[in-house]
Amino acid sequence: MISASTPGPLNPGNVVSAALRMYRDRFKMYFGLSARAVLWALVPVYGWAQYGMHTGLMSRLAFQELVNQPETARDAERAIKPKMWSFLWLGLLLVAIFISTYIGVAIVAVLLGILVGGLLGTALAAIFGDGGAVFSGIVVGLITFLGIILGLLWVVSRVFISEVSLAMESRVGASDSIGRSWQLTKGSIMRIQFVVLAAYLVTLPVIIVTFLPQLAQLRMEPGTAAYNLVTLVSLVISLAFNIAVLPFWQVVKGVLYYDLRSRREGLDLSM
Amino acid sequence: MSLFNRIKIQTPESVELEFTLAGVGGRAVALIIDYILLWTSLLLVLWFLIFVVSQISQWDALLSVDADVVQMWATAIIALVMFAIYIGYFIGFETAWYGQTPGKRYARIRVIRDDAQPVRVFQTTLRSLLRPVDDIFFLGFFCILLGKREKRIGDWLAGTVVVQTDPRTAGKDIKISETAKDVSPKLLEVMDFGLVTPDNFATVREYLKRRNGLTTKARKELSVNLARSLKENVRLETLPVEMTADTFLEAVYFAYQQKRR
Repeated sequence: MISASTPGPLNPGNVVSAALRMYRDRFKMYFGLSARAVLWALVPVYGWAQYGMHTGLMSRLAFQELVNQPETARDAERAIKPKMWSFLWLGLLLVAIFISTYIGVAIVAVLLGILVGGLLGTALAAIFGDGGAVFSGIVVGLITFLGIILGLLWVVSRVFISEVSLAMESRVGASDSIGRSWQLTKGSIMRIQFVVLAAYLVTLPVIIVTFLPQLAQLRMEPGTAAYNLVTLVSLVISLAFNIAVLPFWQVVKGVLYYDLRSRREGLDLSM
Repeated sequence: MSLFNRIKIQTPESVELEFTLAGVGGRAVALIIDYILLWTSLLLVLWFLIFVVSQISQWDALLSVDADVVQMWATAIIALVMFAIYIGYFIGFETAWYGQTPGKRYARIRVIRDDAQPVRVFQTTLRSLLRPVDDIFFLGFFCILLGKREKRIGDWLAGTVVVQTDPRTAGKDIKISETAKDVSPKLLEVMDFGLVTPDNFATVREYLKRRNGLTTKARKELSVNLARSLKENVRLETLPVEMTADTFLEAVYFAYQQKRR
């Protein structure tokens, strides 16, 4: 049955609103987990695996709350602890995917750019002279740049919720989780863009605060005590910022995972 | 657990209506879309006007006006046009589309008055004029985030509130196959439709509405599961004719609707 408590598919705005509400309601728990995650990230290898696991953990807690099976942080951690190293492996795989996508897309875009630019440039130069060649150069450069950005965005969106799937689905390993994310995000690329943009806009006031100390430093003499103090303050603020914002993004991913599973697998439909 | 704030509104006719508020997320999505559209059109218009002015200023001898004077007037007119577009975008759309803009339409939200009446030019103008104030230092953002009724300063002054439009509309886009339509009278004969609860029906309708977005595997499993539960609920042991789970669900939906008419 469709109960009021399992909301079913959500529109992008509601994904963000719901995430914000859930983060606020269990702020202490998420903030604590996030602090641990960020501190672990400073420790190489073992710490990175812990960091990855904690990000999955936060998304899992959000998802479980949405399907009315809330867990305590400890229970959830016990459930996914055996997969800790898979989170590190997933991170490495994702980095490899991003790099190879970047290289692949860049090669295609540049080749196309040269081809189109060559034709267009010759044609325009013949008609308008040097101005035409410059114009075609600018157009082709812009198109190449846009192509690379769009290609990367597309791939990033398709693998966006991999770690949530890894944290939620018992038989799924690192590479399967990428496949799952790929499957679930099909047809939802635009929706994901709006979720990410809206979530970013919501965090913007906090982001601006973190830039204030650096703005102040522009008017200071480097090397002075005051300058160093501000550097320290700036470091503390940016650490605090990272700790505060990480859970928000992970809860957004948890909610998005719920939304996509409702859309693609009818998670909320039963009798 | 309620994820979204709800409000109750007493209309002038003393009818109590309940609305779900738009939420920070919905309003952020709407703002992003509207600002992209607005700033793109502002840039295009600016580019066009500058082009026109540069053409006109070449005719100063012809017009027998000083080039400086033309420049001054042109700048003033351009500034005025830009301001008119910036303010007019929101006034125009919100007034003509009953409280919606392209962004709000995508985000499925709407501005209404505090007494649930549609907004008029007066309210949309106030909201639009105060928009720059709300944008400074994210004043509006914090007001929406912290206030109980999620009002930005423009909303307070105009006496408006932003709510979600109802997402679960009737199943207009549900396609019923001819086979299912043929089968449904036979189902009506053998099935006790009194046992189909409104909840059951709502689930079938949701499934039929959303089935095209499902993965092939999920769709197969879900339709079989739903059909099986439904058959158990209405104590139907054998089907009158053989059919797929999807056809069965379509036929039930169709028959249920026919019966209610």
